Amino acid sequence: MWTVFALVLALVDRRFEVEDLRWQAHVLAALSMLRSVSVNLYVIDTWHGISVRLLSLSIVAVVLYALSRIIRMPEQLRQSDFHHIYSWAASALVSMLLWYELQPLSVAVGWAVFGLVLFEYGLRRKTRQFRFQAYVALAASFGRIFFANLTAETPGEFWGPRLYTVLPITLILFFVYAQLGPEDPTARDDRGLHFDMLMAYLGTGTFVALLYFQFANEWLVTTWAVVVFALFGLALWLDRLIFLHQALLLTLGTCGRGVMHNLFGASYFTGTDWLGRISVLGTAIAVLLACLPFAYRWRDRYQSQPSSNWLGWLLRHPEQLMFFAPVALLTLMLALKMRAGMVTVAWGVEALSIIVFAFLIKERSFRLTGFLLLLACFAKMLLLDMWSRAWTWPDRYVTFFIVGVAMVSASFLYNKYSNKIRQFL
Amino acid sequence: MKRAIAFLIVLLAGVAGLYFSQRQHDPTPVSANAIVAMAADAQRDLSRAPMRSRVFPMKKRSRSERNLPTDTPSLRN
Repeated sequence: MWTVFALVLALVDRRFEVEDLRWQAHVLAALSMLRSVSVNLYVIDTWHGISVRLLSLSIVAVVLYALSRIIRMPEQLRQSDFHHIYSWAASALVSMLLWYELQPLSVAVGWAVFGLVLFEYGLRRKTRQFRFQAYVALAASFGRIFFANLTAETPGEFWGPRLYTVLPITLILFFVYAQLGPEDPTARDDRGLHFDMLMAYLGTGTFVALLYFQFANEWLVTTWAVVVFALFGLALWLDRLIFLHQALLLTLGTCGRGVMHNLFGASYFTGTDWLGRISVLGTAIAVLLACLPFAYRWRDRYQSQPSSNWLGWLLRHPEQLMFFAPVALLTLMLALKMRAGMVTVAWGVEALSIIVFAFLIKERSFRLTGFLLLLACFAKMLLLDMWSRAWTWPDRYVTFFIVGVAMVSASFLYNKYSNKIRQFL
Repeated sequence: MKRAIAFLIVLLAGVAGLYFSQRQHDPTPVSANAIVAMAADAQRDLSRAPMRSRVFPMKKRSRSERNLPTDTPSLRN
């Protein structure tokens, strides 16, 4: 009743311009907000089967939104968006109402849907304060999933509450991001404050977190690699740099996860399932290397643009990270998972493959990597393997043969294409 | 028009998620378990990295074996 009375006072003031009534409306609205938060939020009674809390606070929220539009204010204050104190209060009230009325699992989805509606309204009415409220609601929704949704599951079911509550939030976050494109002049302020980046990062973060909890520990590295592949595809298709940022960051995350969990994280004493882990990590490495065509297309598109620092250079040459990160992971995997006597052989084969690949795509840094790895094989044989008792004679024959063939092949390739190489140098 | 349809589809997906989650009868625990699980997994992996990166002599191995749990249960569901 207080809120409705405040609305009546504001309407009368708007019609007859009575200064006192305006201030009374402000005080009444503030008091009703205080009462709503301190009393009504905790009422659990029902009226004809409808929650009294839901009914009373919905009316208060609607009136507060209305007040934000009709309340009279000095023009200077209105231009500074002071009248949106009412809409912020109403949105806070709705968010709290959702918190109390919905089940714990639904709160995040409720906030995301509310954020979506606020955003759409703010975009259509060109009201940036509504959009800012939407960003707060969406960010809160993202935070909330870590407290209720991600750990919710029905045992034995793939499609469970975790998926059907988190996926819509991801969809909403990406939809909001898509609306903040450079072609829309309304959202220029939002882009200036980097809300578009925030939404894109929250969207991808939600999805990556969902995968973290949805898939088995071992396979996480592969699923993240697939996300990197998808992000590269999105970056190229939509021509958005933000997805390239995310792809490169997630590449580092994937490699870090691969090293920490799949290589080092396994128990020293029980980690005997080498073959299985090689196939899991090998799949992730293969998917990461499959991003190279995307990375080259990106480089061709933007290599003419100058880059001011190393980060800018990395974004113009994503193929470097997309090659070196999986290759480092592969080299480490071979060193840790192969039998001690066969590590040099595996590295020799890897080095020759890298050199052949580098010659095919004419990439100097890759070629040098191959040569360095071959040199490392040779040094390892001389300095470590030769003096190791564990190095059996069959291992020695195989190692000398494979590394020898690799070195001769590399030398042959280098001599044959030396003129072309000089051109690239 | 295309934008309005996209908005409606996304809104419907959100409302459907809301509907199904409201119909969930099993109680959902609200806790910071997700964050704790991620931090604990990272700590477990980090703490085991030095163990994997060196070779233990046999005498030390049995002593370490006593100290190191063979299979730390993950907090993740």
